[in-house]
Amino acid sequence: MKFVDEFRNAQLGRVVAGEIVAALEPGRHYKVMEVCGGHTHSIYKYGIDDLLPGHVELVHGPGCPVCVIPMGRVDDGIAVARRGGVTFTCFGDMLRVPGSEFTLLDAKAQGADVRMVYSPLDALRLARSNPDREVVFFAIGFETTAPSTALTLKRAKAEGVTNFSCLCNHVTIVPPLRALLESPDLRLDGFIGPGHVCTVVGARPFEFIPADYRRPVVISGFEPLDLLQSILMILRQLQEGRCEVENQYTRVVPREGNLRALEVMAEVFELRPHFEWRGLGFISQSALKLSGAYRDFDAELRFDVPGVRVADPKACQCGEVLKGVIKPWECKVFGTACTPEHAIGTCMVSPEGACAAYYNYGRLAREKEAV
Amino acid sequence: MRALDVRAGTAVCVDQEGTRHEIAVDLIESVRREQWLLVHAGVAIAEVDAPAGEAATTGGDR
Repeated sequence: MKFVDEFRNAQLGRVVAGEIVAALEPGRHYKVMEVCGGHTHSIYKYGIDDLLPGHVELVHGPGCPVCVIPMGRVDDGIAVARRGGVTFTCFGDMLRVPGSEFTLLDAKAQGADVRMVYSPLDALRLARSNPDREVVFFAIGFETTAPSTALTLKRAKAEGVTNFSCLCNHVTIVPPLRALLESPDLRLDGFIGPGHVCTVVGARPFEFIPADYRRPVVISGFEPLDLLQSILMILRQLQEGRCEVENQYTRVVPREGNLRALEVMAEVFELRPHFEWRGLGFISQSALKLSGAYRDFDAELRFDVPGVRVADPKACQCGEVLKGVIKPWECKVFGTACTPEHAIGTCMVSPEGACAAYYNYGRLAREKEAV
Repeated sequence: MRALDVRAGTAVCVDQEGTRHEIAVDLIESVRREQWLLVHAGVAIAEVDAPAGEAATTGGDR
C-alpha cells in the first residue's frame, strides 16, 4: 500500500476485525495496552474499538509526554519564565498544563515572556536573534522528541550560543512499562508498541517484556489498518503460545533504531537517578538530564529552580487513567469540572491524552450509555 | 514530509497539507530530493521508502 487512504479502507478494516474475532479464545477477556498517546488518539478518531468484540479491551498507557509531567515541574517552568530577561519557550499543549496555581499561559497573560515553538530549533533561533534575552526551552517528550532537543543543544554548543538553555523533562518509555508490569492493579495480555519511539530506539529495548513477563509486543503504525493488524498479531501470538516483539510498522521502524540519533542523545543526555511521573510517582532511571559536557546549557543549574513536589488535585484521577486502571469517563471530574477548555488534569490537555481523546470523539456519552 | 531541496544539514520539506518547513536532517545518513522523512519537532528522525511515504508519516507519538 502506498497512500494514506489505503490504510483507512473500511472494507479491509472489517476483514481484519473478522480475523480478530476468529483468533479469540471463547470466554477469555483480553486486555491490550496501547502505550502511546498517538495510538489512543487514532483508536478513538477512527472508532477502532467499535470494530472489536466486547471482550477485547484496549487499555491506555502512559505514553503521552504532556500527561506525565507533574505539577511541580510546571511550577519550576513558571518560576523561570517569570524571571526578568527570560524568554521561555515550549510546545503549544504544554502552555495549558496546570501547575499548582497557574499554567504557563496564565503566566504569559500576567506578563511573562512565554512563547510557543514548534521545535527546539525555533527556540535556538530566538536566542540567536535576541542576544540580550535568556532563552529557555522547556523540553518534554519521550525518545521521539529527545533527539531534536539533543541536536539543538549540539548546534548551540558548536555555535557558542550562551543565552540559550534547556529545562529538561525528557522521559524514557521502558521504566514506566516495567513499573506497570510489576503493578498488582493491572493484568495485561499484550502491548501495542510505540511506533515512532521505536524509529529511534528500535525494537530491542522492548524485548524484556516477552522475556521477563511473557507478554507479546507488536510495534505499530498509526493508521486504522495498522492498529487492527497489530491487535490481530498480538492475539495470534497468544493463540499460538508465542511471546515476542514483532514489528508491524516495518515501513518506518528499523529493528536497530536510528543509530545517529542514539549517538547524539548519548552525548547530550544522561539518565537521572529518579524522576517524578504524574500519577505514577518516582520511577528510577526514567528520565534524562543534560550530561556534564552540556551543563552550561542546563536551566536547572543556570536558574534558581524551586524543585518543589506538588501533590495532584484530589479530584483528578489522571494517575489511574495513565496506569490504565480506570477509563477516562470513570474519573469524577471528567467532562464536568474537567474539559479541554478548563482542564484540571493533564490527560485532558494534550491531544495525545486519553481523556481528551474520549472527550473529543464522544466516548463519554456512548460508554455511559453502555453502562 | 517530502524533501524538496536539501542543503547542508537542512531540507526544505512539504507536508501533506502542502505547507513548507525547514527541517534539520543531521540525524539521517543521506537525504535526497523527493525522499519521504518522518519528522518530529523540526528534526527528521527516520527515512521512509517512497512507496509507503505518505502513509508512514501520519499520526505519531512524542
